[in-house]
Amino acid sequence: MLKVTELSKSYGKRKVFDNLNITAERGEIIGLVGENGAGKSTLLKILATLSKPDDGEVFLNDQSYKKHYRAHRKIIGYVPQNIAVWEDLTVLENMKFFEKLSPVKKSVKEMKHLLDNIQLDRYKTRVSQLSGGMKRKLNLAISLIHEPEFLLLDEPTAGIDLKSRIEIGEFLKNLARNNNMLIMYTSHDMNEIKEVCDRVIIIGEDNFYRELLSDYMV
Amino acid sequence: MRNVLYARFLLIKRYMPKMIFWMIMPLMAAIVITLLVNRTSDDFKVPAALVIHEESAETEMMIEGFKDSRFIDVQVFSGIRQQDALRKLEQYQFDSVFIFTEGFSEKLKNGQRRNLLESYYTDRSLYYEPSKELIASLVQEQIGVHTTVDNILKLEEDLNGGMTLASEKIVDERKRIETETNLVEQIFYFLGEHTQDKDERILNPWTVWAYFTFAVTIFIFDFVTRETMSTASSRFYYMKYSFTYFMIVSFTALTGMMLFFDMITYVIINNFLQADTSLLSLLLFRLAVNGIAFFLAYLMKSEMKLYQTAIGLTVILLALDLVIIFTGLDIITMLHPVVNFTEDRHNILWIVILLIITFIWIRRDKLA
Repeated sequence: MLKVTELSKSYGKRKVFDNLNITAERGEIIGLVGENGAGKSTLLKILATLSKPDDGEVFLNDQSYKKHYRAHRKIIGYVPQNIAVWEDLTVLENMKFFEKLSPVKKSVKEMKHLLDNIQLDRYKTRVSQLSGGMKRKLNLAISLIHEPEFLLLDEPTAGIDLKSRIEIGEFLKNLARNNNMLIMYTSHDMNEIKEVCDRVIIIGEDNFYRELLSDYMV
Repeated sequence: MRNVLYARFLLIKRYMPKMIFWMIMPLMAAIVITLLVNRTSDDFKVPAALVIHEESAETEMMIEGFKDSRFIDVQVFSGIRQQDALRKLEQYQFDSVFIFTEGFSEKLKNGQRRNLLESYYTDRSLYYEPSKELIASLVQEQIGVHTTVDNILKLEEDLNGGMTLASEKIVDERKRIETETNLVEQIFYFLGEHTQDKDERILNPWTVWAYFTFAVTIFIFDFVTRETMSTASSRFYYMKYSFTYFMIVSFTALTGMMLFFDMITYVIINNFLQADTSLLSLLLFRLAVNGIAFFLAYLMKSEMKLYQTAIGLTVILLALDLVIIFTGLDIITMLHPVVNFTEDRHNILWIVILLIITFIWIRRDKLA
């Protein structure tokens, strides 16, 4: 489904990554790990069509990003590291807002079902009153409204409690399995990576992660 | 479009009371400030009394002449209430009292210029001398009318003999000629530009309304800053509608709503404050101000900075208004949205600038 060939990106004189090659299929959950500043978020943004590489190509369903990035956006879901929800609205109002603008229509019942699956049933609570874990769940739920085939998450469990982390991890595994979705996400939690991911891609030159994950499929 | 409007409503509904308050505020300010200033200016009028012993066209003309004065608040007493007027003068309720005795009109017709009336004033009278001069000029005008009538009748008698012209007809004809030849009206020219004094009130309510509207419109558009800076706006890349489209629809809907309030304002100010403006000017002003507010809010990084900019820009516009008064610089006038509106010039330049900016903005969005 996904094919990345010789991808390179630099910021000024600093090379973030060079000649990166990745392939991935539907139903996989791939973890991206690396030290801070290694380029995980940058790679994720390129795959999310929010940034352009300096060199190389990305293909999704055999279609190049360069020519078809607008069409690809309809099947990509991106969960940013910063919580991208409207703080003044309730949980359900947020879902309704993005559903109205989404290419895929969903009923209120379906949206509530999605929220229930992610253990977020406080529909009428304003986002500003939610805990960090619940905000992250909503952050994820909104990205799933338009039923993407390729889901990208940038540290979806950063700064939240263990229970919420486990719930999100389980949810992602179900999503990949039941919806045949390709999921790629970044995290600093190695236990979570090992628990949730099928494969890991290490970004950066630091060998720390390679040694840490030496007994894990890479 | 319906979906976009619903989404817009969801996002803004909690701010609606505040926005409606800001939409109504300029009208309230225009009414309160205009009434306050005009009432204060009325309070600054000097009270004077006219006592009329003889009712005639001449005394009526004198009364009208006093009422037309911007600085005198005249009260008319009949002859039998002369003592009331003088008592009030002693109590300093009047600045001066002028008594038109019996035979006043006869004396005028005979061209008499001395001992036409009696006048009284006090040691605190401020405006006695100017009032006296006003009477003198009104008397002079009346004598001029009668002299004209006499001369024409005499000429008619000498030349034709048979026909008789009515003096009223001559007076009417004289007035008509005066009006046509601008003997009484004055047109002022300032730096080559003809300006007409349309309004005798001290403060134009539309000016007050326009300045307040400029400031509060920027406040109303603070949602643009809030939403543009929010991380949630990045989700629009994956939506059916772009953030730009969403904002354009929002701008259009909000402008429509504000125009509705503007129509109500137009009716109220026109009918109750007797100040007129053209609907086209009002429409173009609204579009210009909304466009300026929108793009300003789009560029700002925080709502606080936006509010500060709104106040700052309004103050600058007020200052520029004064600069225009003293220098008459065309370039400032062309770019001053409030002056363009109050002088009925239409904000065409601003509309063009904003359309170009909008085109560039949409183009950039399409290429993103």
